[in-house]
Amino acid sequence: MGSYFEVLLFLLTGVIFVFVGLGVASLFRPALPSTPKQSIYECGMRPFGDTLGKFRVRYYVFALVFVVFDVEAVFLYPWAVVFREIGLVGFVEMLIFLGVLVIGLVYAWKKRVLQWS
Amino acid sequence: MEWNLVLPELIVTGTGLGVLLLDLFLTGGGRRAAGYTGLAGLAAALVAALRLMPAAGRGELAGPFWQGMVVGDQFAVLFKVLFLAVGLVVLMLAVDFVERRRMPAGEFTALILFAVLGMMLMAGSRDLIVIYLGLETTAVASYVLAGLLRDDVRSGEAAIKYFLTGALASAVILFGMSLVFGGLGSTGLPNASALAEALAGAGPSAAPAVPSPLLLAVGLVLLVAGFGFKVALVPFHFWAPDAYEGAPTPVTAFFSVGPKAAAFAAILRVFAPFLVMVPVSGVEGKALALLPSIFAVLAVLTMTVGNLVALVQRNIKRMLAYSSIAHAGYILVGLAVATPRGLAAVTYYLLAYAAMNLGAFAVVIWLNNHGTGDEVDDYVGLSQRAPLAAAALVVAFISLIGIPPTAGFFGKFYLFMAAVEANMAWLAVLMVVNTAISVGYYYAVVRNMYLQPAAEPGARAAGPVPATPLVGTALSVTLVAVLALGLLFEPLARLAGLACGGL
Repeated sequence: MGSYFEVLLFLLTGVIFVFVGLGVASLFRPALPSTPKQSIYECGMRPFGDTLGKFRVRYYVFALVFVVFDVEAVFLYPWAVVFREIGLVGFVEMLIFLGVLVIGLVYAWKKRVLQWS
Repeated sequence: MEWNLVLPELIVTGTGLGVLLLDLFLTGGGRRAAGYTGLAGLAAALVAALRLMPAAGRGELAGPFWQGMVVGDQFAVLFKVLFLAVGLVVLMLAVDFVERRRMPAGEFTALILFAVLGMMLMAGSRDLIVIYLGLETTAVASYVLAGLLRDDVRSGEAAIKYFLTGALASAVILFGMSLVFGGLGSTGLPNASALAEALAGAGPSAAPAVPSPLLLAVGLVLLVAGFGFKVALVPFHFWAPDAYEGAPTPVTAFFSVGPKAAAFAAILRVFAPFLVMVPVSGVEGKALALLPSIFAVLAVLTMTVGNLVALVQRNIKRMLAYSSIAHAGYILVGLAVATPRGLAAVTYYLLAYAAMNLGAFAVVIWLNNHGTGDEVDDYVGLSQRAPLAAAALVVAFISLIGIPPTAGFFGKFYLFMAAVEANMAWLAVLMVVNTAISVGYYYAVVRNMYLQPAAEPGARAAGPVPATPLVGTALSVTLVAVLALGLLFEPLARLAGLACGGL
């Protein structure tokens, strides 16, 4: 259970950090709201149409391909960290893994998944 | 040796990826090349797996590889051989069907290969994580396979129903596995045979320390429910008839024997160590002792409901779906018995069932390729129109009913003996009663084929039905297997016993 206590500590610190940070900032910062400041920034666009509207199924394929390569990046980080220890075998294994993903990309490309029109 | 052990998996993976790439450059009639490549890959993998048999028999491959993620005991190799053979037969049955129904040949072949890969992972590991990984690999490929007839609404319905129940089952299994992990303190499963030896030697004190028996028991019950969905046990079966009826017929054939056998292999692997612990469950918590009773209740429900509902089916794929449910019930008898012989009987029955059910589906696909519908009434007068197909279907049905000298008879006989030996004769009797019920729906088809004259000659796609080489070969292989598995009962039952002895 000892190691889980550290996890709990991290969790608590994370939660406290948010509230302390925002709380302290709200005490000191000037509050001068304006329309451009309150517009949605980066995390999406102003919604258009209603939520039941249909949109292209192609969007999902785009998203899937994106997720695949996003997760690939997640695997690359720990691999790079221990690269010296795992040596040539680790290098070849990662090449095979990337090769499999490249085959997927070639497949998607040839099937014209990457074209929007 | 390590890499040799996973050579079949590597070949299947490589072929699957190769087929995906190859298919991009194929057009028109050349698309059959995708199927042929897949067949070649599966055949090569089958040879590689068969070459592992002697070493596995000597116990040289049992050692844990990759931190126990992969084991190469006889059980694993035997099931890998079965899965590769099933994949091979299904692909042979499918090549013509895929071409005729304009299904995407490359994707179909690659998905079958990936599903087989997942099945092999499930049988070849003693680690819950890898078993789950194999389960999902198989399941995801299967969902897509069910919906590959894209212009057929019912194929889409089959895919969505299979997907929704399959995803639910996966969630339940994963939750169960997390509790088993909590109860056991490890994702690695105990070695049942070593455990049994230790218990026999040193008594209950040799049982592994289970930090939390209750957690373990709850986890195992969730696993029963999750795997119950996967192998379509009553009351977790409701998705199966719709999925089986709507899916393309070769895919239905695959579902009924492939992923089902793989899930049973996983069930054997996961539950064997805990069934061994049942006699000493006074130490481990009484909850564990309930496992055999749960299996017994599910077995009775599954075979009875499966057989009774099969009686009223008019569509042959739907009827075979309920028949498949009933057979899962028979197989469960072996688990309810919870003896080494019971587990061996399960293994033998899975081999026999794969051969006879693929035989029946081979005939359905063969006839469907020549325009015969899938309704039982479409088989009226078949003995005049296609005597060979009718005769082949009769052989498959004889085995499915369990009449000697076929594999189906010996499979049921073995389960029956295991139940009687374990003082569960009532279960054996129920099995016999159910077998008698099952004669009804198999015989209805036989009567249509032989005793009913064709209504109006030429009304329904009359004319002879020549078998293409691939379908003909696949059908011959399954029928020879149905008879050979029966004739070779002694050595095969011994092999199944040895395989389960190493769980």
